[in-house]
Amino acid sequence: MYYPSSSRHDAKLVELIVSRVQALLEYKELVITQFPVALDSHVEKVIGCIENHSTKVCMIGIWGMGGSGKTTLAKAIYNRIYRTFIGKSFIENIREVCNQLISRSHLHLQENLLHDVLKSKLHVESVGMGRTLIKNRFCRKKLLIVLDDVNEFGQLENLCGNREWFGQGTVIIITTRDVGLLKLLDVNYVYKTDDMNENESLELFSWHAFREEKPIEDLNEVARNVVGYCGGLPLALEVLGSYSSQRTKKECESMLSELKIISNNQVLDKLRISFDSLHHHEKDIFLDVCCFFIGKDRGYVTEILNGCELCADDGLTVLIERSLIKVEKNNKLGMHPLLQEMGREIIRENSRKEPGKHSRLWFQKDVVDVLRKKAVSTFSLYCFSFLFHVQYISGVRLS
Amino acid sequence: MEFASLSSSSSSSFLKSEPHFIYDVFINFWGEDIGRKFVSHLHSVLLQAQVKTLINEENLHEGMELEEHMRTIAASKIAIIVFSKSYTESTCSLHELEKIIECQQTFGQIVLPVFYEIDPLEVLEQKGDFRKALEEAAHKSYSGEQLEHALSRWRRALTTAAGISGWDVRDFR
Repeated sequence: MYYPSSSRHDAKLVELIVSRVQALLEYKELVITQFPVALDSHVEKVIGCIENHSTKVCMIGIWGMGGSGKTTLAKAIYNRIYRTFIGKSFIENIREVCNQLISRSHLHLQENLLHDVLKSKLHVESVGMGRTLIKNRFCRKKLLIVLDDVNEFGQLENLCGNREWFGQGTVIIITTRDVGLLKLLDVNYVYKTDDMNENESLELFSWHAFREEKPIEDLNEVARNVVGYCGGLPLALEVLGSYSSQRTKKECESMLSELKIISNNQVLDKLRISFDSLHHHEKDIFLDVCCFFIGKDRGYVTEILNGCELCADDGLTVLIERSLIKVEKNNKLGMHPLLQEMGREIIRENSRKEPGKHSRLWFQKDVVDVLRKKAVSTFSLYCFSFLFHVQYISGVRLS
Repeated sequence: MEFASLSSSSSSSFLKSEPHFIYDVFINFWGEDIGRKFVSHLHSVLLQAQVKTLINEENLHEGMELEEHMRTIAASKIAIIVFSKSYTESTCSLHELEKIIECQQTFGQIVLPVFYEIDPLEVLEQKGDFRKALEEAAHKSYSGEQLEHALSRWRRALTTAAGISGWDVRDFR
């Protein structure tokens, strides 16, 4: 097509404006769980609370134990309502970010929040400056903000310290395991994610185990028994359901007998049944992802792990099928915080006080301590894998 | 603090409260020439990209009341203002501009100015022909004290809008 020169330049400008508009609107839904059992009714209830609300800014807390579906619920609410706001931000895994980036973590979180809303990069020098920026730039905007997995009050102080920071109609949703933080912040409502009832539990388990709403005839009884031991916790139902997928009745029964000897509140031990059943190299991949590769691109991770002769393509697929890791938006790897806790616990369990003997190190402080004391195990294979993982860490730390 | 399970969920309208967005983008401009060329191009590309876009002309032609028209501006998330030499020739674009700045200040409507063959400084300071046209337009609709008020409101709105970062078409020539 022929354009006179001025309209050709106009076309370039139009393109720029349209891409800016698209970036500002960003109509993109978050990826939620594959089998949303009973999710809609919870979403309706929380939205009901938001709508009931009459003052300027509405703060809602979603509170429940790890694995009870807080993040899933927050994502579903976000997807339902984000289009009615002028700007929005979903800050994931705040606890983990703070664990990893100890000193700069709050600045990093503030920068993310500012970027999500303003769509331009701002450098935050200090938390004080971050708070001022948030207040000045957000005080007239109707925003939707989700702060996911908050575990310290400081995180809230630096991201949403005061209702005055936000414009009329702003909704802030906070997910946490600690109801005390919500009280301290004086949120308008707290929504507790209760355990799933028996029917919901069986349905969620069945979807993961059999890709159907109800258990297949032959496994009906053993499935009901396993579900009984999951205590209505969605994560346990998902992990043990995926574990049962394509297994014989006998294998499921042996899982049941393992479950029977674990006391009711030991969730991690129940999840561990799935880990213990993995092949050796799958375990290694799981632990590597758990320590170094969360939030990293699947292709990139595959390449590195293949370099360690771990057959990562198959290994990652197995882990995904077992619901032990997830592939999130943009092909990034994710893992539920409880499963991550389990993985790290497994690494620590035999040498709790001696990081030098762990197969993997993931905290900068541990790495520095170990290198300084040269407390690395002399076992050559150990040493090799350790050094290799230090490289991983520097990659994680720098990005 | 209240526990959610205790509160009934009758449907009031926090989410539906003002601003209740119907449009993604409102385009504000004036002038037939620029309308035919640049704005219609921008409008069609936005629509192709499935951005719900509203443009001033079409609705005014349908005989829409001013007040209702102002409500549709307030129902847009983003306002694109296309400044050109002829922008101040009409009170229509200026009324819209006033509303846009009001929306920016009340709920944070996102304002994206485009300077189409006009120096941003000219809009910022309202000098020369741009100012002359502004005063003529104001005289056509108002007199006396009202005139002074309208002029000062519009000048303030123009200065505010010109201070927002946007695009200068001359950078693309």
